[in-house]
Amino acid sequence: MAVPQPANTLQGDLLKRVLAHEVQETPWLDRSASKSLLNCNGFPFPWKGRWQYSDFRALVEDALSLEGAHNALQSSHDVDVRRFDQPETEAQTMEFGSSDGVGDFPLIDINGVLFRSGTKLSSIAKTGSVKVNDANGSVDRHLMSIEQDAGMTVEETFKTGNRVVLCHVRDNAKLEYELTMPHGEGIGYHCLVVWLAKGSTFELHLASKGAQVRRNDVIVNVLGENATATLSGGWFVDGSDHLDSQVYMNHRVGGSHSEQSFHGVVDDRARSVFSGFIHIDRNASATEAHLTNRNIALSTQARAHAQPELEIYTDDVICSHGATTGHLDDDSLFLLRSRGIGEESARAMLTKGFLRQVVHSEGGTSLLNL
Amino acid sequence: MKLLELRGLAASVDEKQILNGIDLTVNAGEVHAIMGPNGSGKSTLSNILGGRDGYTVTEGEIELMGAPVNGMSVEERALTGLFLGFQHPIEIPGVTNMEFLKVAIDSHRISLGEEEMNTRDFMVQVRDISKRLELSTEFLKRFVNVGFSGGEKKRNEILQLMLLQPRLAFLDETDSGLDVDALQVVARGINEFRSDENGVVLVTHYQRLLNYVNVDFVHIMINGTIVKSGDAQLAHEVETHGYTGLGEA
Repeated sequence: MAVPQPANTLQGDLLKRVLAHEVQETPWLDRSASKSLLNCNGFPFPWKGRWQYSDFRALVEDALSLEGAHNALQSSHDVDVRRFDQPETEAQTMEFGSSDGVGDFPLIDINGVLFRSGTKLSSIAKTGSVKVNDANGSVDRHLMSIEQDAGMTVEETFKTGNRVVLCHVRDNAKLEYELTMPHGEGIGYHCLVVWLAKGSTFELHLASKGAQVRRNDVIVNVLGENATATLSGGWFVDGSDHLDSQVYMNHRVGGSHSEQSFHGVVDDRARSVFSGFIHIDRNASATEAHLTNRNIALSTQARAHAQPELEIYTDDVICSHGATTGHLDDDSLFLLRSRGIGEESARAMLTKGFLRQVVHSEGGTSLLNL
Repeated sequence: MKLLELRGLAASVDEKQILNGIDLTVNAGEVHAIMGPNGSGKSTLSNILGGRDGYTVTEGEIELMGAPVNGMSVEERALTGLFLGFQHPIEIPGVTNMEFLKVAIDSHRISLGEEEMNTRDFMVQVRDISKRLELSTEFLKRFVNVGFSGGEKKRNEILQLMLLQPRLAFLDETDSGLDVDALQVVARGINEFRSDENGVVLVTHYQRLLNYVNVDFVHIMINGTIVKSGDAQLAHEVETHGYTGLGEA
């Protein structure tokens, strides 16, 4: 009879398999930075902390199984585009393998070891724009750089697969990012990392449905004064889908501002997770950071887990965070029904209204039928 | 025709008895005022008529348009012809006034076997009513009652009343929180609405709305029961002498 293996042994075996994996098509790509970070940090313990609600191992197994390469860039305008398999210098080959020391996010490094396709996109004009399609069941990685005083809008669609997007927003530059995630049949991991330099602006418009398992990490590192990050979005998760959204807002310097507003709806037997973490460094005085997350459960078996966290290491900050989980408002429902609107229609109107408050992008409005 | 009949109506909220036997009949063409001090059960009466969860009829009967309301849902009562005006109209972020009004009027039309209202006709009608109520059409694009002043919220209620054309309007303290100008606009709306075909019940603390709307009957409600009924003169008596002494009448 097989003896059950302890979780940490299984994690160790999985780590070995990732580290031993060689992507045959790209022997020239330097993946050593990602491998050494994985070696150093190891894998997280399953079902704890940031992985309390989602199966970390399922995401890694999925990434290991994805062997296709896919060109996801649909179109671009006023943007310099370079595919990762056409490197011109040694520095460029290293750039793709590096994660710039994001920290303890093993899935970013796993993506660094396994990705087979990707792009480097640079905007020097104010009018840069790109459209990025679904990863289509592949592991890919995109580097974006919005140069000083430039601007770029990104419209990205993601369903399943494994994707990491690393964005540098330089001094006084602006990044507007529409991330739309339709329902996915399989497993998906998406991670967006943004570094904000002095005076830069980042706006995220997120809209998501669920998937069999979907984990969506957004990491914002505020590195310059007077940088502003505005993140808003909504999700509707139903059936037996699972959506785990985690936002890490790191204010490394002071005089910056961040605002986050997310609304989620869960129905049927679905589960949503939202973890919003705001970290304010010792040197980041005069920071203003706000986070709200509101959730509505439409059925008794649906689950919405919300976890806002603040970690503040300095005085002189203005911060707020709050999360609620509940049902549709009885008073609002009564008002609509008292005007002759059937209960089902009234519920649908209120649910859409709840999401409309935070979903403003065209793609998001259409995805969630608002 | 009898639009509303209450026979010995007693009701409780969260197992607390609030209404203690109310008899009231409202016929087509009549305007009634129900007056009473705070806590007399006026708002409970409104909620119980509307069929709100948590409000229970413990004794007596309610008939709307000649049919008992037993087992009727909130929306069925509305489609039968009942309109509740709220004392504190609530805000619904994310739902525009336009969408709300259109779905409401279409729900009424569909229940009558008619087609949904043509958007152009709807706009013409809503703009016309808004103008009469001195409401900017900008309000139609905004979320229901969000950022509206107290007076604008009440005028929005009257807009719904005039659009939906119910058989019976039961208006709970529609005059509260209104300045004189807004009060006159709201009263004008009620006067435009009233006809021989419909009925109005005004629930109010004060006589001042009755300076602008002529009422046929005034009922004084204290401790969950109607203690005295009369004509418009009764409202003047309350204004002069207060409710003191009426409880024993």
